[in-house]
Amino acid sequence: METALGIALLAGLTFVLLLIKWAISATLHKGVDAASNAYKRAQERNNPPQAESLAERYGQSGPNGQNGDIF
Amino acid sequence: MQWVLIIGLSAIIFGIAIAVGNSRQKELMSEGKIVKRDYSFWENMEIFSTGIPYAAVLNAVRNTDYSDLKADVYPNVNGQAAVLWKSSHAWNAKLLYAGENAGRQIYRFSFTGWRTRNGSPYRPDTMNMMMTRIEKMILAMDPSATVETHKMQLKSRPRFL
Repeated sequence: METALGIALLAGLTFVLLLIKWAISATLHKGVDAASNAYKRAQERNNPPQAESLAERYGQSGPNGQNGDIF
Repeated sequence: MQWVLIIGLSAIIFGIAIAVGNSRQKELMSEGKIVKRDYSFWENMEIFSTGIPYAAVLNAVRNTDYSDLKADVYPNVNGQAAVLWKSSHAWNAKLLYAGENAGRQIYRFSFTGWRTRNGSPYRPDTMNMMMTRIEKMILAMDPSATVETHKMQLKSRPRFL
């Protein structure tokens, strides 16, 4: 009886500790996400993305790459 | 003395891992399967402006092999004009037809979810391959296509265990 109670107590304590760890981690993630998203918004406001020609992006290698077609 | 040996061995193993990663990246670049991209390119959304109708894009998507990316394709997912890829490299990607603007067809490509390890995706090389494949597919169909790269607003979620 005492052993079963001990195991249940240990399992419960482990679950609570995991829950606390998850809650701390979730809060940290939320904070980091908010800061990172605000930085991205500010960056896009200051330097709005420009349309770029895909052909120019692949100008060196052409649409099928340097050494063969992948599409 | 033992510590010096352990630290030395760790440095050698780390160096070998970096060298192998770099050589694979060079190989993929020389094959034209990836291109050099920004750090954290997987957080970008690419907005394509093309003259290609959705039916033609769908046809091209269906005729492309994704086995090297270990990705399954789901065309017209949830009844939307969109294609979803689910890769067993722990990422999903989506190409959404966003309608017509000034006579051009607009498509949005982005990674909709990925698992991370120490802040980076498990296999960013396969994500680069996927993005490159989509760009080349669109370019092959419409050489006048343009692309705008936007940073996405992200929401991360820790795992319980």
